[in-house]
Amino acid sequence: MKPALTNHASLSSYAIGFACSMVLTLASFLAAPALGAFGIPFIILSALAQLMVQLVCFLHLGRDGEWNIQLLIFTAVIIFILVGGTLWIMSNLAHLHTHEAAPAELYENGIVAPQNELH
Amino acid sequence: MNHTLKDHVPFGLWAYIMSDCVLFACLFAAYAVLHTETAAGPSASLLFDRSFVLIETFILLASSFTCGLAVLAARARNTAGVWAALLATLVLGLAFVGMEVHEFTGLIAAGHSWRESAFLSSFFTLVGTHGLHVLVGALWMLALFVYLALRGLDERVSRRIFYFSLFWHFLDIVWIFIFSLVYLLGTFSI
Repeated sequence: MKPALTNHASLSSYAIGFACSMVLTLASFLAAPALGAFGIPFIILSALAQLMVQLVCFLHLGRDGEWNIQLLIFTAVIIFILVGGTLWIMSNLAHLHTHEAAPAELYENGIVAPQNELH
Repeated sequence: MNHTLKDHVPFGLWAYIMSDCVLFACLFAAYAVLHTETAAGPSASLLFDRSFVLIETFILLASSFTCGLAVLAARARNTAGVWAALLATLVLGLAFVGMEVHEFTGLIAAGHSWRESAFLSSFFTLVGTHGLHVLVGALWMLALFVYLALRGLDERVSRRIFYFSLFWHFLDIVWIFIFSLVYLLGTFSI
């Protein structure tokens, strides 16, 4: 007989998830005054940790065969390309706009000048 | 194993939730690019209230927990438990939306609407889209209550409560990134 959809749900998984999420949330909010400059990476890592906690404890990821992990990984790749690509292109655009060159200086020896290349 | 159409619903729902993640990722990307463009107006650090957001965060997190309780109650065929847990989830979800509406109307009344700067445009779009998703979730819960009232706790509505819980947990996950990247990093000071 096929197992029920909710087979992996249990009170302990929701309670543990809730408790860990609260701890991580509080830690993030207190990170700035407590950690100084290290607060920024801490907040990001804490968010990623809480993502994992909620994926496993609330969404029971990975315990019903691997198809939902595969979809998740595919989505992560798409997001990496979209967000990463956006940030890369926009930062290049910002750089070009702040270091505006006269049209004649855009090219050197027939090719795009190095400072106007994509970096 | 004989696959019927309804066996594929979890996969379809998960695929939809993943597409919604891509939507939010694009809104985050837009915010990341535009959040420094304040058009000589106030920036994040001046406009956001951290303790207010902390309360909002706990409310949404608690609603995720009560949603889990509703799933457990449905599996145990505990009708009263389902009603209680789902009502708690609805109340907490509406409290979250109410707080967000309060924050938005406060900003707009002070003259800081989405028209003021690119930073505010992208902020209202990102956080507002999440808030709309929560509101739609509340409507979904109302629909579940109507079903429960008319037909009681049968196998069909139990599956639907489980599908709703996937959507609701995903909304809390998106909120993790909103409060971390928009509110905490925005108001970050050593």
